[in-house]
Amino acid sequence: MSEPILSVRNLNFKFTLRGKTLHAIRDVSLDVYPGESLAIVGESGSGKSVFTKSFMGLNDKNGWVESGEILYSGMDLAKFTQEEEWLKIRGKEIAMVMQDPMTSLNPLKTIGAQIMEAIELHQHLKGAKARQAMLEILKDVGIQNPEKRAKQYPHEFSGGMRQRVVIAIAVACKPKILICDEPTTALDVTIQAQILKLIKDLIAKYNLTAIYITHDLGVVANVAERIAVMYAGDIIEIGKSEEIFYDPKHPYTWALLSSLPQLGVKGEDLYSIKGTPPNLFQEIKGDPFAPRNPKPLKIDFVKRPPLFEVTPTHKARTWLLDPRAPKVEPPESIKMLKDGRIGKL
Amino acid sequence: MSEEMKKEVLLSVKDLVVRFGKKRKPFTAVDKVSFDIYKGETFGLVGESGSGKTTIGRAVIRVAPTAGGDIFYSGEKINGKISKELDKSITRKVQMIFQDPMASLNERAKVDYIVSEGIYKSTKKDERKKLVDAALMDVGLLPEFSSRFPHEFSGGQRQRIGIARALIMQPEFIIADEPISALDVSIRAQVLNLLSDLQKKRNLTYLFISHDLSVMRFICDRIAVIHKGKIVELADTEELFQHPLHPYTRALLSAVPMPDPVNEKHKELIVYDPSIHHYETDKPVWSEITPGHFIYANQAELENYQKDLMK
Repeated sequence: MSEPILSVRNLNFKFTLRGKTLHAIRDVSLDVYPGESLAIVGESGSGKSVFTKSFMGLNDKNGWVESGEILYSGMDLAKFTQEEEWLKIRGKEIAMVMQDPMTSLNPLKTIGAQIMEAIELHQHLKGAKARQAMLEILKDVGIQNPEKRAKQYPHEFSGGMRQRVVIAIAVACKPKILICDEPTTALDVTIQAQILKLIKDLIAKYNLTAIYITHDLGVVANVAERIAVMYAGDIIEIGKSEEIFYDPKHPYTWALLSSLPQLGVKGEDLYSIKGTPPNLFQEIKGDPFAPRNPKPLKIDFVKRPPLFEVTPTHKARTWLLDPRAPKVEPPESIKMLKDGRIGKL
Repeated sequence: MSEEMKKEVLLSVKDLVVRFGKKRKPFTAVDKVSFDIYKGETFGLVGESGSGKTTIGRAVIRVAPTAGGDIFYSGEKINGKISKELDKSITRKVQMIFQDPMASLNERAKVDYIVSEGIYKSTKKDERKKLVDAALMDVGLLPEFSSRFPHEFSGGQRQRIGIARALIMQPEFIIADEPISALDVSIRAQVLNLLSDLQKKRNLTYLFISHDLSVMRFICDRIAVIHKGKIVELADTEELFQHPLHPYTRALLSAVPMPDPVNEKHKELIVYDPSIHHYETDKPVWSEITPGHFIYANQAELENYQKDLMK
């Protein structure tokens, strides 16, 4: 594989809240390679948003990098303290598409003006040239009749169209990395499918590196080449999407896949993960999933497992992969994924 | 539901019309919709935002006034003007669970008030406490929680409180409007299991409103697909997934993301284009194409769909 475009090394990220310290990202390392599509999967509170926001300095003021490095084109983003430093990264190098297209646009400015702003700032075009570039981008994101639409305000656009505009703004900055934070959660299924296709087309056209953040495993299967599964502020498993769906190794990944309604048998209970995710205000000992794991090992409660290598591309942080561990089979139901029995309707 | 079971119609909707807006420029949100819901089943209503699925639910629970058509509950007409007694009994028997557990609970009230609001006037204090405790236990919460405020709970727990609030009325029929859309994958499974447990124990009937077809396939007995205020297709769940006929149903099914990276990356999206229908002379009707499988189509289309089914 080529050199990573973004390399996170042993990142620890903390917040203070009402005098207490929350350890949101716990010693996470991740390499992102140029041109790939990586998805970070996790439930709410798993730290997936905090993790990616730390690449852009977008976390709230009460959070800080405790230790670790975020290496991007010779710089260590983890050392950034001033807003001016971040301004060189945000938009220009790393851009973000947010979840809710209703709140991420300025309601008082026309769509055209909002896209022009990004173009003028990042591509240094002015006047008619900037306008031309803006119309082209609108066309790129599939907005019909761009001349007319550019003069309209966000409220005149539907949810799907607004998300297209948000994507247009992100792409107009000509970034190297595009982070899509739940880009389709607020949208209808048919619109969702169109937006996902649009993002994929743009990534190919502009040669972008994409990081998706989502909790929807169906969306992940659609867009990602590689998947990182996050739980309690840690990447507990990472691999090619086929490896994660067809040959998962971590008990949490098993549990997450098993609770998919597509694997359920009608009239029977759907598999559900017992309990709640751990409280990150307290230090976590051992494997964070152990208390909810139906078949935990003794060592899971004592020592944090290292990242075991399954294949050169597939790694998982579970003691089950230790050669001394007893053999624990993954649940029967997730074998359906491998057989392709649920792939078709 | 098995075929042998005697199907008793609990809720019957006939040519329901709901309009919004001024008289001069009305907007028809629900346009002549008809369906029956049998006792004990889970009936799914699937559609995109703005399709009118929530409005149908709201018309059934009598929050949205109907502009035409009838709604019958166990044979009695419940829309329009009804007697006070019927109003009271329907209010108790038909309950609703809402989508967003963050928004649907009163932030300033404690759980015991939220859950007992529906029975507040008709019960004494200690009796009420017993009922609240029982309702909380039924949804897997502890009775101690009754003195807490909603913000102290997680999304899944809040949704359980919403369910307890419906259960305390001893309902027969529950309208669940996107009850799990706002929840995480693992919590979703817990709430779905809870809903189906309660259905078995209390012989409840559900009207399940959602846009998520993979969840609906798992829990619904029958599904109606609604598009722009019209139900375009209605069938048993598996029949609908195996033999979708209406082009809109097909488009919807093709768009559902499936958790399988190989198939998902090669799937073909079907885009629904309403202009393929030629309804100018040959008017569409709501017809039963095979037993239990209804579709909104005109004569020419019906013949084509018949041919599709033969294949």
